[in-house]
Amino acid sequence: MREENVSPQSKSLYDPYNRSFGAGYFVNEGTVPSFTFPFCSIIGYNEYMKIDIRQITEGEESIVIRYRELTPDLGRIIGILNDEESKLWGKSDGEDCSASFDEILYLESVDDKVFAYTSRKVLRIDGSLNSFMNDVKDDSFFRCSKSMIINLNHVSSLKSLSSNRIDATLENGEHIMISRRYASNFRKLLRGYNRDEK
Amino acid sequence: MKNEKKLSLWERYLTKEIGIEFKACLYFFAILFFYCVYRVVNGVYSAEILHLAEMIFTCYIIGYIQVYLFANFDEAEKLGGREIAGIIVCTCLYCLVSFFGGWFDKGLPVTAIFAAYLLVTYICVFYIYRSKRRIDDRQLNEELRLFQTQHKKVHDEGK
Repeated sequence: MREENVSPQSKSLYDPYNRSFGAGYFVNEGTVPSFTFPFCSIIGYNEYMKIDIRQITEGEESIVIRYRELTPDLGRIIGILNDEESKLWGKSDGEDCSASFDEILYLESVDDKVFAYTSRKVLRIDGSLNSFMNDVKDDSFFRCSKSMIINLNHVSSLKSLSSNRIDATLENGEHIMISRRYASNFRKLLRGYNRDEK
Repeated sequence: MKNEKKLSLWERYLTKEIGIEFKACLYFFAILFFYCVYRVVNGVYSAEILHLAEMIFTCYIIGYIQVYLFANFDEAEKLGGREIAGIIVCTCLYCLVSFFGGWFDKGLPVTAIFAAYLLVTYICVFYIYRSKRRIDDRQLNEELRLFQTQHKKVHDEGK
């Protein structure tokens, strides 16, 4: 890397709290590089790590990761760089683990904590249902009530109820209520999607 | 956020209110039909405006009772004890108002026939709503299958 072309704004960062190095990505906003999180962040990191972000105007762009041990957090970053299949990261039984978006049956917010349910495990994820919906650009995830997001690909049947509510039965037999407030958008989604694809 | 919540409450109230208005219209027309038949059979070819006003007000008030006290029994999933109690109580209320309002000249046999007519009307409305939901179920499930197929196709093409 040619050091003479390093922008004056470029800097070496040293995060004393070790919080900012996680499931995120670097973004150039103007000339100052910044670091943003998509929908989850990592809290708690046992050892310090030097974060070196430099903006260059010439030369080959590169990302170098030097590590002593491949931690799940690093695995997550490497996954993003390798453009692996999108995964949702969170904690299950106190350990970092991931689930592919296709596996998720539904997400639920309980006391400001968000849980993602698959057929095998429950992940506690950071962020909110709103941030999840903003970050995941997948039509199959639908906000079905104030506290729930449902994956339509895992719905086995739908039942129309009184007061324009809809009962969705998932593949695992669980029932999720699509409230009246969201039911009309749900119908629009199904009809709109099918119409668009025809 | 606060405004959003207010709007949602207002929307919820409005939706419920429209539901009650719709119910009032539905039962008013059913009662009006019975009233007109009764008048025609008795050789009277005019309706009393006071009776019509009483009918619409009664339907509106009983609409509130149906929705708020008996959990909207005519749109229920099944006819259980609470729903049947609701049907009987509302029928009795209509009969009382019709008797004291003199809609059917305070005749007991006609009031009894009116009660039977209302019971049949309630049961018919219950089955109409239920069959409407069954048709809606079929349509929703067809659309869901189509959505899942199309989504999978798009997803596979994107890979």
